Amino acid sequence: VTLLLYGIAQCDPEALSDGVGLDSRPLAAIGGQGLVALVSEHEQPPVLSQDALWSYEQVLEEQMSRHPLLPARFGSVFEGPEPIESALRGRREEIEARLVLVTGAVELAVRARSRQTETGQGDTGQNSVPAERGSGRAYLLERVGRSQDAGELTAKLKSRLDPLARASRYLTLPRPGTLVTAAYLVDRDGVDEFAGRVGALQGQLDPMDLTCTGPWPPYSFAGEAQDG
Amino acid sequence: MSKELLRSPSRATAAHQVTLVDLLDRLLAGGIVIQGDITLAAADIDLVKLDLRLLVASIDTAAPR
Repeated sequence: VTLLLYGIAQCDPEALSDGVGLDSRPLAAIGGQGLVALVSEHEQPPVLSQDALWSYEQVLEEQMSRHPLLPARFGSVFEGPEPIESALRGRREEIEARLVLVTGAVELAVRARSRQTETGQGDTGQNSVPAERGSGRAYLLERVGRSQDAGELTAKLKSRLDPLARASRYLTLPRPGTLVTAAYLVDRDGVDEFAGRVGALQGQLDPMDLTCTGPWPPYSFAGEAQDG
Repeated sequence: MSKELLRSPSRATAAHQVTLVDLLDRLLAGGIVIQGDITLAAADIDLVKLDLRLLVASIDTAAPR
């Protein structure tokens, strides 16, 4: 039997009594004193699939609607409760500080991509230079240009969106065709204003394609920052 | 916007690439990690085909430290 961890919540164990996890397994609580880990028992670790990911996400959304919650990385499984109990004791101060940060907030994701890259025509940011096939110099110039484009775009996003967020995380050039991905921790009642600001930015950043998804549980603000 | 703005993850179509990539980014590379085990077995071939580079990068990030 393995324990699948969903997250750490600020609540009493009794608050999870009717909770349901993956494969309709009942949720159980580890810990106490206002800080509990949400787990369910399984015969095998979860299999990575779209269904499993969305089910996991829905479990977290349901629990997040009830109490402050730090989501755990998908696939966190343990043979027994000891490592979780140890973390709750040893990292209590850090965990409580993160819970204070995320309470009443949701995560919104923003992704900036080049439309031309999606169609195979290369990036067309201000500093990008289309690479000639087989040309090393052109390739390097294109990379430098993309990096400059990503840096300038990140600065624009920071100046326009950070004021609406409690916290933000940025990754530049995370994968081909994507200049910047960003995560924002936004007050629940500030989501509409944030979405409106992203929509307004879209018109100013053509030919970039800005997408915004959410609200998500605060995955990007539950652990160490991974800024890029 | 050429993409729908602010879809609820619960209601979004799982096949939607942008939302799925955002989901992958968050569940496999975000979240709190407790020293212990991250164990994954990939069984959904469509997921792997969708964005293999992302999946590999995310699993690498998710590996126990």
